Amino acid sequence: MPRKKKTVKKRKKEETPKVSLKEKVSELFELPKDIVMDVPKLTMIGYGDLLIENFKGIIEYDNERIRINTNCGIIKITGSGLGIKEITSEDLMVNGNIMSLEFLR
Amino acid sequence: MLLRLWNYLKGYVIIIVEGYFLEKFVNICTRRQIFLWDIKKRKNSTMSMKVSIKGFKMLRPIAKKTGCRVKITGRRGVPFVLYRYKRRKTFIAGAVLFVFLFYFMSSFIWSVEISGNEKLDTQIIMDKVYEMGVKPGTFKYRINPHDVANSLMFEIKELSWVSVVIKGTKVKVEVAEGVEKPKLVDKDTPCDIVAAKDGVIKSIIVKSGLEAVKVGETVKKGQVLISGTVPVKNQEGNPRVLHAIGDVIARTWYDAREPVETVLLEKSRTGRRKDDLSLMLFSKKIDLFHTNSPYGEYDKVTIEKNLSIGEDFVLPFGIVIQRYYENDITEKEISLDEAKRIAANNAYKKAAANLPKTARVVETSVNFIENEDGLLFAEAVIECLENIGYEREIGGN
Repeated sequence: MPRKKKTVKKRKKEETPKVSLKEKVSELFELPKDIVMDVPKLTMIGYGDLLIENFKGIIEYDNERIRINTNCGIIKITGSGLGIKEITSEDLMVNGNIMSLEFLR
Repeated sequence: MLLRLWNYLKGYVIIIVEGYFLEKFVNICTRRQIFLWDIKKRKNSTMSMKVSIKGFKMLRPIAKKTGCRVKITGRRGVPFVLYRYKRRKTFIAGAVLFVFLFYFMSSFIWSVEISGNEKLDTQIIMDKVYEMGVKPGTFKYRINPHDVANSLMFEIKELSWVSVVIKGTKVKVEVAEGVEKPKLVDKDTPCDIVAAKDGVIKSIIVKSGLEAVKVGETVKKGQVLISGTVPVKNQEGNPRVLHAIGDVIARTWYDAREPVETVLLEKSRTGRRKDDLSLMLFSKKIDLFHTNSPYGEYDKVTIEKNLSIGEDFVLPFGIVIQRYYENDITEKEISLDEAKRIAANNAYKKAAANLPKTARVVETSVNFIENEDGLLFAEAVIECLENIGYEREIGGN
């Protein structure tokens, strides 16, 4: 158990400077982060519509729960009557009664 | 909204996908650039979604790979509608022909409307307009309304303003009649004041010139009233000529005669009537079941009805109804007094029709005269006061 913890910590240490560098560059040149850093951009209108840009794939799809794989972990959406309004290779639009939005990292 | 319209134009199918790896199916679809929308989970292992026709063709290998079954439940969009009509060739031909004919027909003039004329006869203007090539059946785009208006002004001198507008299949010609200008003599040109009509001078006011007639004198038409030729003392052979100015008020009379008739012909409709129908096609008249008028005495009324869309889009089809009303003519005897009254009234109306607007009526009287044949006439005389003088250049007319 302690061994595992160590490895996780090590990884984090390795990754943090990388991300911060990209972030710094994007902040320096005032570039939009979602393009520079290749992370999803989430746009939510009320609790009904959620637009996820730059996603990787659907892991689970149900009326009550949707899990979506992205570059910064899995996004888990729960609610009722969920549906996918549109889906293309870049963006995904979820509509329905969204109760919660979780990042599983 | 716009996207939905676009999708409808391109056409799409509603499909039900059944299988265990539905998420995988959707993921592969997105990776292969297949656009899916309105995805809904139905039961445990079925999903309904919409996909474009192009995308649907690429679905089969994906379905095979993920072990899903794809079922079509609906086809929407223009391509499917077109497909349905593809076999009805005559229908499409008809639709195309309709549009074409509609356009073709609407590029012709089918009616000419003239308005604004009061004194001038509509037919005269209509004839002139026809002469210029603006008549039913003319190609609309060949007409230049501006040119037509100009030449119409030129051709008919009485018009002071003309507007020609093409509206739909109708040419609207609006005219205004000019008031005929009195022939005025230039202020510096020497002239006389001459009588415009017969009369008895009531008063004469000379502002410039020499009085040629006296109050109470009877003058004839064309007689000089105020002379512009003024003799100068000691220079007999060389008079001064000037521009005569003055008002000459004279009594004038207007009269008219009407025979007194004790027997009146009275028309009355019997209530029976007959319609003759004609079809109008491109200004050609086609008679339908016409027979000769069955009545001895009748009134004829022509009713024209044109097929039109709105007010301005007149189509070259129409019907003409010629309606004959049968008349009964009855002779009616009236008393002499009544007949005299009617005749006097008619005579007065006839006389009054000639009255100029500026004349002031002083007296009216009606006399009954018997001529050589023993016929009784009513004669109405209207006496009025009016300015009868007008300017005429010396030596001119």
